[in-house]
Amino acid sequence: MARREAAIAVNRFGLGAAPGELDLAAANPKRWLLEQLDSRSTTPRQFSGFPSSVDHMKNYYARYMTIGPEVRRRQAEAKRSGDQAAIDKSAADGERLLRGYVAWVNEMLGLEWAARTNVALTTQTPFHERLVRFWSNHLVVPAIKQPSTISVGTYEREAIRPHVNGKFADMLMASAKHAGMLIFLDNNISIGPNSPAAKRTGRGLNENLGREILELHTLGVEGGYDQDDVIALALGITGWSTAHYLPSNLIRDKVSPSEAPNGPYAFAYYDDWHEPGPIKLMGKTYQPKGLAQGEEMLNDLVRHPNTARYLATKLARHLVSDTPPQSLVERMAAAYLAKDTDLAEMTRVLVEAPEPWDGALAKLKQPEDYTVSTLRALGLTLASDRVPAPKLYEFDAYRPVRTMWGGSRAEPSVLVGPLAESAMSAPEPDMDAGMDATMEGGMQARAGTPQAQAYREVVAIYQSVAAMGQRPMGAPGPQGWYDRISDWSGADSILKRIEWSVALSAAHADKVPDARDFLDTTLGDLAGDDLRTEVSRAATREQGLSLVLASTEFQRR
Amino acid sequence: MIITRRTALGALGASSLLTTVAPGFALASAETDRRFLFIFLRGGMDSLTAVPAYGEPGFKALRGSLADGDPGEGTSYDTLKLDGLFAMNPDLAFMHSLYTNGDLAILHASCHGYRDRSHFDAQDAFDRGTVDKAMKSGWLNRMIAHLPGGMKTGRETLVMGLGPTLPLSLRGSEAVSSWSPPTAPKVSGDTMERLARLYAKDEVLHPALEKGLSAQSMGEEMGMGSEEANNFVLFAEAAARFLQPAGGARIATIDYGNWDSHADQNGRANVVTSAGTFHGRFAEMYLALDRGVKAFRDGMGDAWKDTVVIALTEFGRTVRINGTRGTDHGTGGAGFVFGGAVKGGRVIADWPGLKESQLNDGRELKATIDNRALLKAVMREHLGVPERAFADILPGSDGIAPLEGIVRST
Repeated sequence: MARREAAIAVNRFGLGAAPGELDLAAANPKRWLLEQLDSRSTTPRQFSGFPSSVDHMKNYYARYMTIGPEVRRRQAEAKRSGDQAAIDKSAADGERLLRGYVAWVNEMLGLEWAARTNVALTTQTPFHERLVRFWSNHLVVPAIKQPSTISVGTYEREAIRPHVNGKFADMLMASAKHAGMLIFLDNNISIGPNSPAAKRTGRGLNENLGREILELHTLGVEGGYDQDDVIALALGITGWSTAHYLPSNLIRDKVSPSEAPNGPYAFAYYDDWHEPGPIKLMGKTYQPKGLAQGEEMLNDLVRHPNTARYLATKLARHLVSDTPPQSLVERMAAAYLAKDTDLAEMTRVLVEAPEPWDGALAKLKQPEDYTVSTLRALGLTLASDRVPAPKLYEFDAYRPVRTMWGGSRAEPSVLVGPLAESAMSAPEPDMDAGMDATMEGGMQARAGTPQAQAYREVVAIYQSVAAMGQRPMGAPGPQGWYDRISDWSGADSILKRIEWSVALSAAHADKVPDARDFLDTTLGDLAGDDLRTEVSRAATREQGLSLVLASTEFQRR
Repeated sequence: MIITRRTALGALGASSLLTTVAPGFALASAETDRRFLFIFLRGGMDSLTAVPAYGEPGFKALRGSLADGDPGEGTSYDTLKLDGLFAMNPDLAFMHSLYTNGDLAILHASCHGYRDRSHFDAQDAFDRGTVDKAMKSGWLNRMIAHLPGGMKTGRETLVMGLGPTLPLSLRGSEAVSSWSPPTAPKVSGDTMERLARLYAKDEVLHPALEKGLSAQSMGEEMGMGSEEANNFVLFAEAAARFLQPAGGARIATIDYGNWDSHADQNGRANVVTSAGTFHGRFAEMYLALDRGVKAFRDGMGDAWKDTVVIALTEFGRTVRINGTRGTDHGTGGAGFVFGGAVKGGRVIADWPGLKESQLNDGRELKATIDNRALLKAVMREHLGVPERAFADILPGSDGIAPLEGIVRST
């Protein structure tokens, strides 16, 4: 019984068994999970030395906003001179400058994703990491829009991770005040239409973040709000913007002082952008109190019963089934409300409930989780786990990009043997934020070096996950990744998973002396008789291994 | 998405997106010459940027910096004239030529049954064919069940998604599959057979595997094995390659997303380098739409005459420019219906006007035509779907009559 429960704990709640993990959990599967809800969140070692959002704002965002005007200024100057050579040179300089910028973003994203993946591959608290990923997807800032793309790693570290075992009130506040979210959903440029700043400049409101907080972050689309409430919340959070950096057109319009103030996580509140007067949201009037007006709105929204039900439904859908039992959802929501938005308490109700332990493999792993679990089963980490922390980039556009993977002595550890050959012959990278630009630019100078190989490994694995239908860190929009079986069971996605498991098995069969033992240490009691029989009859060790990794039991949870 | 230097460079306008396209694609085959492609422009394409009502008094004042030049005005970015009221986005030059040749019609001030402003609910309602969330299957999947005999007999109807996951519109009980280029060496037949045995009892994974394998062999036959096809233009090209051959697929769908333009919507050409002139993100979106449509038209060859394509979005956007030089979620949108079988060269609209009093909630273009009237017209006239099936395909649309005269009589 304990072994079966351990297999459920490790696969359904965790990230799939790493070597030895089933034995560890078997001592007391529920306690193994509950202890992870009690643990205080610490920053995994893989992230030490990574830049903060303040670092990014001072460095990268500032560069982002100056680069376009600089290109245009140089081109205008060359044009005025009438010298064809100068015009040609300014055009070439412009292209190189822009390409360097793209390359830098891509390397940073590659490092962020590699570190995040290595955390998942090595963590002793995989349930905690699942929850980080779940809440990160709930309040998502994906790498699909500039310049918030650069913030996706820092956003998760600063706004999500610290609150996963804490209060949703704190998590939402951190999210709504984080530069990544403010820029992603345009609130950094939203100005109250009756504010002093609007009167000076004619600029005005953007309702994007206000709408998504109601629709996606708190009440849910059927949570009982209307268009007036969208406007009201958007007005309530006018002036919530970013420190250290402001879009150049705002500075040009003299919307604010040219120097933005400092703020934690690069947040700044501009009082003269804030809509004056009382604002009515969901039937309640909020008095003008500057920043506190919007804070009070959020603090009420997180404590709304519809928010509790919406969050509980999503979490139960993620961990139990596409249609979680209503009684379970109600119990979770009640705990959330009774404990003042405490997420650990809400999750505890789920772990202690009978429903998740019935052994039905009702969920399909999403592609990124599936890939992580295959690597965990084999005890693999990406070579980048042994790469030093990235340095903030000294942006000099007139020299080739050659910074962040420098100093690495790491050889690829996942992409070896046949997997390396197939990955290296694969089409050029297809990363959302465009690692191929880096392949052309930055990496060229380093081709063949260990760090280039380590980077290529990260790109190739990223691509494999993307080919299964999920571009890591690239959710399609503020709604995040959808979470039902039908969202992930496309025929092509399943084929791509099989191709991955076969290629991975061929490359790493040497780590698995006997596929039958491997079955016991990964799926344990979840493996069905058919699978046991097929694995024992496999023609080769590799084939046995690939049958385990591609099996329905391994793909489901 | 393939990030090209063009899109990356286009990102340098303030807060535009670095990345744009993440489409998927799906199709079905049967014994008929009629072809149908549905393109879902997800994210809420701004109807007044796609098809500006330049003849409306005060149009430019309403649209502020989003207004392009009028037809023939002589700016560097003149819109392309359709008639005295409407013009087409300057980046849709090929689609404009289809209009001029009578192969493309425009639907304006239209919307689906869903009338709130959530993208996700609106898209789901469109995909399901109803606002009823209890409906689990998609309208295209249900439509297949009602295709007349000629479209179903002979060989099994094949529906597939290009792109690894399947759009909701195609999910349901009819046979469905998906395809995208393989990225790894082929799995051996022996391993695949063993896996097929292991999957036999899994009601989700087993059908997925079967469909995937059949799509893979179809893709290989057509020599599409190695191509990087993850953007709209390439998927449009692929759609033609699946739909064009005799005995090929007959129904396909492509998702083309990311039309949500809350800020800095007007990203016109502003960076010139030795590699060319680079556009803002939304200009790139229209250019890719136009290139994709051209690639599809070219790929269809003579089969173009038997083809209808519908491209629609979930809703339009606010009429006035917002405080951040974009537009917010609205109601009345615009769409396109084109192909050799389309009676084009006209804008189909019951134009509600743009005066304050004529707007929906004082902020957005009213919807005076229901998109389902167009879907029904094409289903009935082009695909031979009987009217009695509409209650199943698009439940709750009884009061909405099919538009007349969309398809050329043959």
